[in-house]
Amino acid sequence: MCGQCGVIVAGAGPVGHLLKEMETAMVHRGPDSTGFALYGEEPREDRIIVRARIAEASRSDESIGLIVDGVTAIGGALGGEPTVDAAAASSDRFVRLVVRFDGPTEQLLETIERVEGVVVHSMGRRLEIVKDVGAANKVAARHGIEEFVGTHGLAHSRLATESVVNVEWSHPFWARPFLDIAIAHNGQLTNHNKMRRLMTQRGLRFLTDNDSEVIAVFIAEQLSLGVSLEDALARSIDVLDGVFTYLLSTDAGIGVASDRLAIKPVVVTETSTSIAMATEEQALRRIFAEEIDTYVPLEGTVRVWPVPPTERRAA
Amino acid sequence: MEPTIATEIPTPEGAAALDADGLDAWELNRRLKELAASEKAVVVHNPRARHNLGVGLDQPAHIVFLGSVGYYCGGFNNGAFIEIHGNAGWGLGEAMAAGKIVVHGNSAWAAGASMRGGLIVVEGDGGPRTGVAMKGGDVLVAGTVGFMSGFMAHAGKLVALGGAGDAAGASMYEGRMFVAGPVKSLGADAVDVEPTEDERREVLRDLEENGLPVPAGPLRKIQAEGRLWYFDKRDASLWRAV
Repeated sequence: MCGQCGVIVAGAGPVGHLLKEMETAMVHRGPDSTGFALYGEEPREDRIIVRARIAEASRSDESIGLIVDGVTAIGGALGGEPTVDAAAASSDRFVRLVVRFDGPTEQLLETIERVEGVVVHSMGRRLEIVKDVGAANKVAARHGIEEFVGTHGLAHSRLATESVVNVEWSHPFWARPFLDIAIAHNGQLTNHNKMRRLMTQRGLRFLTDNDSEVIAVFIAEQLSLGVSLEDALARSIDVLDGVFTYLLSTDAGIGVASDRLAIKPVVVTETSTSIAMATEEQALRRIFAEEIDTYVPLEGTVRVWPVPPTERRAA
Repeated sequence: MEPTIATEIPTPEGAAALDADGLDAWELNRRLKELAASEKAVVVHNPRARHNLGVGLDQPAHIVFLGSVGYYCGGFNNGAFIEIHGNAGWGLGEAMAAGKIVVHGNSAWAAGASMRGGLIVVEGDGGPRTGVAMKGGDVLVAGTVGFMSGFMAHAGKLVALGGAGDAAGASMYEGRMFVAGPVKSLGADAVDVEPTEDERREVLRDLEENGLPVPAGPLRKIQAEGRLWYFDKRDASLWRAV
């Protein structure tokens, strides 16, 4: 099962609210955990937004202090006060940091995660991944998703089939250490262990043993080699073995790829003001009061929807 | 909020109205059955692509959904005439025994799955696995049908006027598939034959009776060759190809 959705709004809009509404309509598809990958409206080349989990609430101030020390030691600086959220597990805290750092992303990631009990959920110029255990409305309320304004994003309700139910194994996954790339996936892969092994030999690193994280990093690696998102998605259909329909987001847009058996559903609507895709049509009907045309991308195909450029959004 | 589509659709005269908003699928279907027993027609407002609408109807009433429906609409239908002014999701009319379902839009995955009798008409496109494991009845699709349509059909008839996706008619028993337009590929054990004159007349009559156009191109029939019906060790390579 699993229920996922994505939305792109022309001009910055209530992306958090729209994604939460759609996920709430699909909560029956997977109430284990819920996550959101949100893209804020102002990309800034000089900052990286970090979303992370701190395993020990009682030590969250101390952990943040250690993160700041580490970031300073590698020549970075904090661009504002960190914000801290309580997670579903009362022992955990979620933290949002804005960091100014010019060096390699891997170095920043390593430095932050060197602090005991700290796990990074996302890093990006705009991307912010918020995920937690529980159903969509609860997770959204707990982490202020309703108020998030941005250009686009993904959301996912998980019914765990391949690996454990906890925060790190829930979706969306960040394609570490590639900035601004996230995935939501419905399905199961059968060759993800082999792929992960080969990719690890190429120097790539993973947070979990989850199959979906492998797809995200695979696509991100292709993009880093200059392959277009459309071509990278098409290649994944040849490379991945299993059933899948996944949504992949970058700061430039959202793409979808489905396996050749078309086992996992997705429905799309494109209106003059927004593009939305979801596992079930009723999620789309939740956010569009007016009558809409919907369509189902065919098996074995990929689609990419770019985010309208900033100039057009401003107009 | 009233969907804008509602005002433009001709609804049966004197039909009872039922608003789906605020009712869960159990309650909605219970009321629908009650109304179907006493009224000639029922118009359902605000279906909003929700699942399991109009399941288990066993009255010959005319049910009209003003908007898209979700999964398994009209499942186990045993005599109702269901009209959908929108799209239908996964498993439309699954295991239906009698009656008729008309979709004035597209049907998604596996319309008519395991149906035993009755008729489904899709005025747009049908999705992947349309008519999967049919055991009787007819499915008529004005547009295309997707991947593995007709898969394992035991009996019944699937007609697609816009062509079919990959693996059309894979592993069928005595199901019959008629396709006008391009077929991307035939499934395991499926063969493409010339329909008989009687069969051609039968299909054209079905289309005419249901207001569908006469196909522009030639009509092909896809049926099982029967090589998978009985296991023969010498055919092992064929089985592996499935």
